[in-house]
Amino acid sequence: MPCIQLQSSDGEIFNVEFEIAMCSFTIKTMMVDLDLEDNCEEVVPLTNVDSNILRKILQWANYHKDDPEANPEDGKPVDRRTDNICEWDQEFMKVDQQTLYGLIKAANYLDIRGLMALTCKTVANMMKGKTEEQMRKMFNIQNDLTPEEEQQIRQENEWCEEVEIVAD
Amino acid sequence: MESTTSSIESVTLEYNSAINNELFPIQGLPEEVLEQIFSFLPFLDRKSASLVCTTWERLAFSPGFLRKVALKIGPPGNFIHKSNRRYRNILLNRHVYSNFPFQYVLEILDRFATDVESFQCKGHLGSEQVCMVLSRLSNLQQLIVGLDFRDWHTIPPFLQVQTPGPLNNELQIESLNVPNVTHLSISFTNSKDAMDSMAVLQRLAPQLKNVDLYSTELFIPLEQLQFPKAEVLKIGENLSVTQNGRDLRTFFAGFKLLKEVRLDCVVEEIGIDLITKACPGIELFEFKVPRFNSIPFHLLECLKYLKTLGLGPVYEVPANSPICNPLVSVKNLSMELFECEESCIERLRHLLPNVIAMDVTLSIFPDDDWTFETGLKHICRNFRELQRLVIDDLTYRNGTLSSLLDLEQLDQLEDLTFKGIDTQIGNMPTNPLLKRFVIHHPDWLSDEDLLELARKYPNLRYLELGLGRRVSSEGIAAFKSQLVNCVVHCVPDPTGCWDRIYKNYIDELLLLNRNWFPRL
Repeated sequence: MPCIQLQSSDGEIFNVEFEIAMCSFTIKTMMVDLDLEDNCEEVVPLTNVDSNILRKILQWANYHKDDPEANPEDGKPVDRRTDNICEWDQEFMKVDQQTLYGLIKAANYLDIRGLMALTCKTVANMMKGKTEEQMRKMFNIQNDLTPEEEQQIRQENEWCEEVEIVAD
Repeated sequence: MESTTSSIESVTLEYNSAINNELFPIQGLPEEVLEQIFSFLPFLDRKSASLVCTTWERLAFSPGFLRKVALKIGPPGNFIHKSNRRYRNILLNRHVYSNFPFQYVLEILDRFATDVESFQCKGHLGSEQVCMVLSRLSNLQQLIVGLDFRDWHTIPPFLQVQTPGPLNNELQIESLNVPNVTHLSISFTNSKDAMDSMAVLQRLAPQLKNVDLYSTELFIPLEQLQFPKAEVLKIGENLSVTQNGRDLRTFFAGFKLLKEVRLDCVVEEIGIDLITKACPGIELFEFKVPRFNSIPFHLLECLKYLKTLGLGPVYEVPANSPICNPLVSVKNLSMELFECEESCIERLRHLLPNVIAMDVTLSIFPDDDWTFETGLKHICRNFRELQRLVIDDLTYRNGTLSSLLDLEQLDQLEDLTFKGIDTQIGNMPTNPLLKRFVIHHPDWLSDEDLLELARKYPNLRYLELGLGRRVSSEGIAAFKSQLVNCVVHCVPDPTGCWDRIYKNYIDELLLLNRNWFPRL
């Protein structure tokens, strides 16, 4: 099984099966750009991901390596549900808030779509059913809206409804 | 994977420096990530998010998301003039607010002018008003006007709709410039409207790709309209396309590129002949033939790409129909079956040998020989390769429950939908292959039945329960503990009233029972 070497921001080197590393579009592009496809000696530096997070990500990628690749052009509507996280992923997401934050940033940087969806769904689930005040408290956000602005948003929201997109 | 060099100690990373570990430092995330998170929020929660702070309000109603939001025009108020959002869909419920000045609508349209991609008016607009709307919205793609009867929970009260002003400005129509309008949905409530709107329609017709015409009136001069670019055509309800051969010819011969055709009205054979000859690329075709006419399958032979066929009511497939080669490209079939003998189903199967998905309603008073169960048996016996089945029972049952045991013959069935099926769990066969099961009215399903369901369909991945369900959340949890990989979706009640109506109905029924059958 061909491997490549990934180096975390804190210098740790991981030997990773080629196939597993390819779940990241960023790594995929790097390999092509740096012409590393046939060269296993070279180390790919990931300056934005530390070893703790990288280890978690590789664990996730290993479990999901056989998942069908989602093709954004196949015309299927994007999955927007958050109640369909599989058991393994639910267990995997039982991490502290800092790790979750690290995973979401790394998934974004490495462009791993499945992990991005999973982490975003997890954060969205934290927000569901909360009032604006509860959300502010949960994330320690200062309310910088003036009472007039708040009133404006409330009124507009009241006259907004969700539609199905017909014309595309 | 294994780690080789370097220790994991002594790493200082940005997220370690956050205040504490209990708090998710959401503000450190890039805006595009935040937008992605918001994309998983239901609409209500998104509204709450928009009230958190200025950044969140901007991201929660970003231009991308505003594709999925409609601004309803309410009674005149000031707030809309101060809006920072760029609304793309505008909705006018005119039957509710028929009294406020149209000028106000125009002001709002002016405010969002180039952003607006869709304008929908539930209620009546005169053609002059349509012109005024169109002339303001240069990027409009979709125009929907008229009463929308199909939207059942917003059925407007049958108010007298305003008579439109006569269209007196031909020049105005000529100069209408809305090149992006490709989708038009229009419904007429009287012939006069239709006549009045003809000039606007004629102006728009050549550029339309998606046409949806609906009318409660019989006489609409369709032959005056030509849609050479249309790919999707839907004609609804009473709109008659059978007035006379010449007009019909003119109308249907005007099409060239149709791919999807839904004629939700009775069509004579000549209409089908014309449209199939004019548009050989049709992939989806739904039509109804007049009662006692046989279905002209032979006219469909020229449609090499036909994948989905909707036949409407099927009473018979006569043995002496014109000779027709099997329509091998058809994979999906929908129909309403009436008292068909098995030989009919056999002939149907012969004509459509590759159908793998069927949407069938069994209808009318059953006589001794023909019941829902006989119909189902014949279908299952002849269409054994079905992978998907949607089934509805509209036979007169006189209180008895439907039996679906014949579904056992479909050994490739993976996806099953019950529409109006009133049955019990014992009347359903086991199926180890079934992956998806949708029950529109699961009022017959109890918590215990759910467990039985889990036993009968061990590979279920998706179970959808519609309105009127009696199962409790504990029941669903117990079901999920049996089938951990199965997602259970309970359809939300859009109006909140269904449940109430249903409960009242059940309560009344119970009360009746109690009064009629007092405990002995």
